[in-house]
Amino acid sequence: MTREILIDPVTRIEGHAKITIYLDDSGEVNDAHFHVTELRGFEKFCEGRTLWEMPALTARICGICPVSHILASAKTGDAILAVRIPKAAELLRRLMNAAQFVQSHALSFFYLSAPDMLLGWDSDPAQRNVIGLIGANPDLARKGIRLRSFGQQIIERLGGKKIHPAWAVPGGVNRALSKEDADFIKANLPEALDTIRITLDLFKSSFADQETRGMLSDFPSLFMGLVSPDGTWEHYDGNIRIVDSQGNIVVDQFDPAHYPEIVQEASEGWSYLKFPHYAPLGYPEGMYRVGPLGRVNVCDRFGTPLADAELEEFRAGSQERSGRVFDYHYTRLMEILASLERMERLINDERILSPRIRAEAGINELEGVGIHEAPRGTLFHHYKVDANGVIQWVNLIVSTGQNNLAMNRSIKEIAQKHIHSGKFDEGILNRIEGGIRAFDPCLSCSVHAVGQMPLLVELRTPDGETVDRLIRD
Amino acid sequence: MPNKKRLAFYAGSGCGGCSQSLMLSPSLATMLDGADIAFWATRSGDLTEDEISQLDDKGIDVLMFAGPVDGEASIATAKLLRRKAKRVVAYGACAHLGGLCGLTNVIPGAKLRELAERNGGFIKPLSAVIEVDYVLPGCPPPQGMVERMVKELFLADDVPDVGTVFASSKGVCAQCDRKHLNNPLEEIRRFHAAPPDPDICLLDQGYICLGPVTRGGCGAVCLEANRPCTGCAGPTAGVLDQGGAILQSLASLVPLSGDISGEKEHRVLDSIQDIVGTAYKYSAAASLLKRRVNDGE
Repeated sequence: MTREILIDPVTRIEGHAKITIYLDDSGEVNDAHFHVTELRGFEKFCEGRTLWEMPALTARICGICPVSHILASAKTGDAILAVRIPKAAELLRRLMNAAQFVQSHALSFFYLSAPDMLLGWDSDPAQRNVIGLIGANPDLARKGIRLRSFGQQIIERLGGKKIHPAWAVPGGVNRALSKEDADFIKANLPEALDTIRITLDLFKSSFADQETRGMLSDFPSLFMGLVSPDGTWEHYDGNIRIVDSQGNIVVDQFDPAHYPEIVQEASEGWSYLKFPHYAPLGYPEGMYRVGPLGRVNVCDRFGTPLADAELEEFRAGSQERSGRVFDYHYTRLMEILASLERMERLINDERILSPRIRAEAGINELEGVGIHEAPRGTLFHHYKVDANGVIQWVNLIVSTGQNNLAMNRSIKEIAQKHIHSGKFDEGILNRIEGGIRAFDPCLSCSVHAVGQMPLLVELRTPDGETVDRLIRD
Repeated sequence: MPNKKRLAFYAGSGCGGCSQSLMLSPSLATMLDGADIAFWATRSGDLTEDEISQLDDKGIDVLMFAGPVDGEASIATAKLLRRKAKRVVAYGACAHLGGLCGLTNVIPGAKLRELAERNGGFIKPLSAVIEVDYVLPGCPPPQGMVERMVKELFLADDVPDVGTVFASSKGVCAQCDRKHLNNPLEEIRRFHAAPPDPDICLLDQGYICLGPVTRGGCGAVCLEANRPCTGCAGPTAGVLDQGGAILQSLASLVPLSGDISGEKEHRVLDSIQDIVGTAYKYSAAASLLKRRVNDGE
């Protein structure tokens, strides 16, 4: 008799999703599926809108990382206007994206995942959240909350609001940086850098052992991310690089505008989230990973001193690339450090204060691709327009989707390791969810961080009869 | 200080920005001083129907509902939540007006049917399916309005009058400090072609701005960032249809040519691209338009 374990919802991720674990006759794990159960239809209702409105429209895909969609959309607009944007606009977009990395990564680490690591995977679920973290380690929690707030404040100062600041537009940005805002950023950077260095030290001293780092599964895959022309870590522009687990470069300096040649999407009936894969290897063999681990694995260097020292320690002299899902947390912290160092460099570049921030142009191309790195990975926007700039067709490949194959692989491995003879407990299920949480999937929803999050797990027979039930509340 | 109230936050579909707007608000700490959290759920799946059913009827003092209503399941949940709460706040543009995804109601037929089928129904504002006591508008609600809601709902001894909208009764223009030139509207200008002058009223420059017909109280932050108001707080008090109101305003700004055929006047108004997406960006589901009946294909 085969049975299913259903985890619904997956808690402390951004969005609604569920996990089904399929057991065979002897209660061993046969397979596991991560389902995304919602569809909002953005690609359809953006048809008929104007190119100008696209950053503001696509921002509403997600209230957690609206900046990512705003920037990808503005870049798509640049391509359709066929312009190179002014230097100040590029520097400002980079600044906002760095701020976005800081706030989003800090949310993922301090609010969503640190409770597992610092309070324990088997600790009381009612306490295993940011409120519990504040009780257990108030100093770290406070620092983390302030770090996230720093990123949010930069976004608000640049864009006028923290959430959905449609400030980047086709051709550049809407408003120049004021001296006052530049001074604010300069004054607050040292504290932010201090926080991330303390956190990285704590992380490395607490979770350096191989068993911990391997606990959320460890498997080979391809990795994808943008790099600059010299192979440096890139978050806003650049070309695509793909490496394998041995560190061999599979694709390098690939023009993102031709992405359909390397990225194809498959669908499965049980999830609304599509399954992008590396086209030459097909589905599902072409599994690749994006996001912090993807970017860190593809780059030759960060290009800033503190982050480069961390990268050297992380690689430990090996050419091989980490396939450990737990290392998403590690690389996420490294990227906060790198983003703050980049921010420091940007804010001290005098060109960033220039009032020349917009290239003006009409519709010069009828099709454009915009790509950049969102905190969760490479993000693709692709539009076709008519001669008036009215959108005719939209394709979006979101960061989270590209980790779909890897997320399914991860939960299957964790489930296989822990569930035997059909027996499981809450702590095991939390580890399985932790395997998803490490990817920080953004399913366009909000944090599950305040209050008590109930979780219902059911063990069902194939005809739907519930044979066991576990409620966490 | 009155007794602590019991609050709940519920988000149906949507982007999660509303929950963020409250989480990131300096008012959050104040709110938690005045209230206990019964639950803070960001999707239907976070709380099963069973679990909601087990709560006491009217056991929640204030329920904030964010996100649009889209289909049978979410209507049932909204009705159930209504029974459990003394007061319900439509939190943010989606609950208030249906929000951006309301545009799915008015996209051409075949695509619409396909989407509605997959989504389980047309997008509706919360007030179309349950009685709503208060409205906190915005996409997401601006800080000043969140503060006011927290103060009036959780810190005051008296509850606000039913029907209170935690925003200004005036339009966005009241807080916009751009210069007025009272120019006629001779040509609709497009944002991508040239950036607007940051100190002059956008309508005076020929750019479409929904400021005159949109509820204020946001501090006109979009205008300050040199963006037009796109209407996220919904129509001003007493206005039924926000999109209709802006189209009427625009028409009244077009100078009369004296030519009886009206050809010149029509040419100006016809040059508005994407009328529905511009005039009804957030309010299509709450408008008189309802839905597209003719595919136009």
